[in-house]
Amino acid sequence: MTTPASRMEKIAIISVFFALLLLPIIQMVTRFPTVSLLDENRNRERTPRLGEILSPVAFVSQAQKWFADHYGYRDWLIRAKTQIDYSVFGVSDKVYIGKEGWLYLRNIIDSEIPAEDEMSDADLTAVAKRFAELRDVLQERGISLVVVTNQLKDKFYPEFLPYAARRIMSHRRFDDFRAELHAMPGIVYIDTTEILESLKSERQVFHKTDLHWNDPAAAEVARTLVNEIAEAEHRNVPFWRYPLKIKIEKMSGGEATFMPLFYPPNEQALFVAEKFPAPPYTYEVAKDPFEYIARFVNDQGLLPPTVLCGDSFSDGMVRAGLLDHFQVLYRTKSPPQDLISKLPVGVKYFIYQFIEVRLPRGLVTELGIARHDTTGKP
Amino acid sequence: MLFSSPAFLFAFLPAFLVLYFAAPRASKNGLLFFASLFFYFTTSGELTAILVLSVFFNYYLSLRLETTPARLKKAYFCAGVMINIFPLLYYKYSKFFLSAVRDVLAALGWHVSWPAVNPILPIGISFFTFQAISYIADVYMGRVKPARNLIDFGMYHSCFPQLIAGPIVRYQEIQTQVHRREIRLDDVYNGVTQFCFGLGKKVILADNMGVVADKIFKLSPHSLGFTASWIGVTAYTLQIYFDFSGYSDMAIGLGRVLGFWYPENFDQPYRSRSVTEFWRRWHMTLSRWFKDYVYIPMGGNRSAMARTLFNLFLVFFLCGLWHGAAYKFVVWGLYHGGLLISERLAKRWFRLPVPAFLGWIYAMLAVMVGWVFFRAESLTAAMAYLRAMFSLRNVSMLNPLILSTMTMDKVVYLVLGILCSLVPYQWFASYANNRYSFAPALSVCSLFVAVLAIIMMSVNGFSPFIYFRF
Repeated sequence: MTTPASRMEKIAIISVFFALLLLPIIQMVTRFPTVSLLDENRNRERTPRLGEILSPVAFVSQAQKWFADHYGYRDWLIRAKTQIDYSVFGVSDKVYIGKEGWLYLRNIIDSEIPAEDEMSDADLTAVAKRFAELRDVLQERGISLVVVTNQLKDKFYPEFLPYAARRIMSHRRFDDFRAELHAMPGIVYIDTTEILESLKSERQVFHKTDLHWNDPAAAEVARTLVNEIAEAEHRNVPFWRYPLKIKIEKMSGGEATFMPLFYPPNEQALFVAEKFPAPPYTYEVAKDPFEYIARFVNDQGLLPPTVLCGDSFSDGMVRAGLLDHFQVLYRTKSPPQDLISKLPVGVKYFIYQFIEVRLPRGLVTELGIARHDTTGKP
Repeated sequence: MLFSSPAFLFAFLPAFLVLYFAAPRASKNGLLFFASLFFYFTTSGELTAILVLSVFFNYYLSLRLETTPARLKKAYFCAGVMINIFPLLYYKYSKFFLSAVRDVLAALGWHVSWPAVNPILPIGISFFTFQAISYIADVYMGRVKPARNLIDFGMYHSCFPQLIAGPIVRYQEIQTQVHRREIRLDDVYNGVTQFCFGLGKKVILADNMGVVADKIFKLSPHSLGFTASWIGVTAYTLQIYFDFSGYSDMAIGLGRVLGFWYPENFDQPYRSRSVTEFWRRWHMTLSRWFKDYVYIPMGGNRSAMARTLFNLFLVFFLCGLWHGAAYKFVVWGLYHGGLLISERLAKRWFRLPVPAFLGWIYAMLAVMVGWVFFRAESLTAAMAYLRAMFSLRNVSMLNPLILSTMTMDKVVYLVLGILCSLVPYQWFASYANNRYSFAPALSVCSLFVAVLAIIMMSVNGFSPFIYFRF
């Protein structure tokens, strides 16, 4: 038998309920208290324009989307949800929480790597053929292709994955693809897997809380890359000019902030200690089709002009001092379809860096190589 | 606009409630009618015209039915039912019927094709069509006097709390409240509590179980094993119950806040000890609708046994079809019809007393098997899933698929869901005269549940791009 609520109890319950409904609107209007915004790496929905009211269906639809992205306390509530998941249940919808503070993106483990492993021999051969075509197209223009491949941290540190996520085969399809690249004549292939596998016995090569390799690991690869190009240019090797000094700093990487929490987990991460005295260079930003062009004022003795086409893993190499070794470095992260036709005169090396999970997407098709396909396939 | 969306909870609902409580009594029905049309418009856009036409048509038809001579009444009524059903047939069933005809012709060796028909389904059309039919049927049978005011009727027919997912409310149940309803502290208090629990059922339990069910039902047949398939179907069994009953609780709670006493729609159906009992506890307003407007007019169980069984079979065929325009729903309906017929025959022939626990086990198994047809993408997928459930492949719980799916939070929500569906509500709240009455501690608990639901709801719109950096 239940005890009936008193009048005051009823009023209190109703008041709290109405307050719950009204608080978001009040915060939205007054901006009080301040709620720190989440970085969602996307544009939030825009406010519906008054002119759109002539099409009421579209107006109302946009208004709802806008409201869902902007209502008061939204970002705080999202953090509260993920914090509960993390602190109470030890889980996250977006990240696998591994042992000893290691984090792994769920999407990569659950979807991207399995998709890569489902590639057939024919698929792999087709992608390798694209690389051969890219090599040939570049060679026609006097440019050498340098390929840098990156595998992700579950390849190097599978032992820290939670048991539930351990479906990764020790031998992956990407390993077969690496073998194809090793056997491909006429390219310079920098196999970062080999470098990192030998390096990891000395020190950690990936961040625990970030998708990326750490800068000291990137520096080792950059050193190998520069020396390989120097060797191809018949320069004295080692050409890499910087000694590696490492420092340790506290950081919360992208995977930690991606969860997102009020208090993201952090780690003592390895960084390159020394800021090198950068040689004088001009730095042009957003020069289509490049993100930037670093051109040295006094380029005597440096390696010839080079394009660096790669993702954020390449940034680690740049931070470690990669661009200081080239007369001109053209940098692009999102190459346009017609990049090859837009390559400047004088470029001698084209560094193409990518992470393994991009393999199933066909890769070099984005560079417009299909135009040169003689088989008639798109 | 769903009840569990920010736009509804933090914009529409507070704005409407402020206006509703501030409005003079004479304006409340008008306000509710237009707010309901706006609510419907936010989801259905131009298709709101169908609802508006339905309001006009049924209002005038009901007045006409009252004054029409007896010899013409039946013709008006039948025409009214047909006209009400027409949009439902077109929007919901035309594509399925045409493909079914094509399948039948193909089976006979005639391969035909015609232009594709794929209309956008107006949300809640099955609910408001059935509500309209119940209204004109009740007027035709003289059970109820037609509404004298278009706004009053429009408000009843389109009332947003129960417009898109029920419960299916008969006019006679709320006739007096349409004309005169009091806003009483007790009703607002109990309504708020029921709404909060409904929100929690939907967002905390159903949505979390949905994640598990989606993941497992998506697996290819060769990846499915015994344990995974049973976890998947258990999760879906809880998802569909808490999703639907949660929505019903929100509708009934909101109705009560506004002064309406809607009928309950669920009575802990997973406590049933037979499939017959399950249908007395599951989607009760739909079962009642089929009973009163299809089963009994066809003779119900007053006819010979064979005819009664045929009536049951037909009702469940229609019930399956009502739930969706696909073969799998028809099979689901017929499966339940077959179970009910079997139970009736078993009761008549054997009269064996079945221990309560065994009855419950049987009912749960039967219902869960039925949900496989309901949830699977197709009949073929359902059969493959059922094979996995009854094979002894991959029995271990310690396989990575299960561990990555059944994370600690999901285990907690699964256990909570099982408890909430099986522990009698009467232990916590009194239930009399078709209405819940909640103790203060339970209401405080409901607010906590609402806060948790609001927190969980927030991540639905949180979809950052992972590969922004590449």
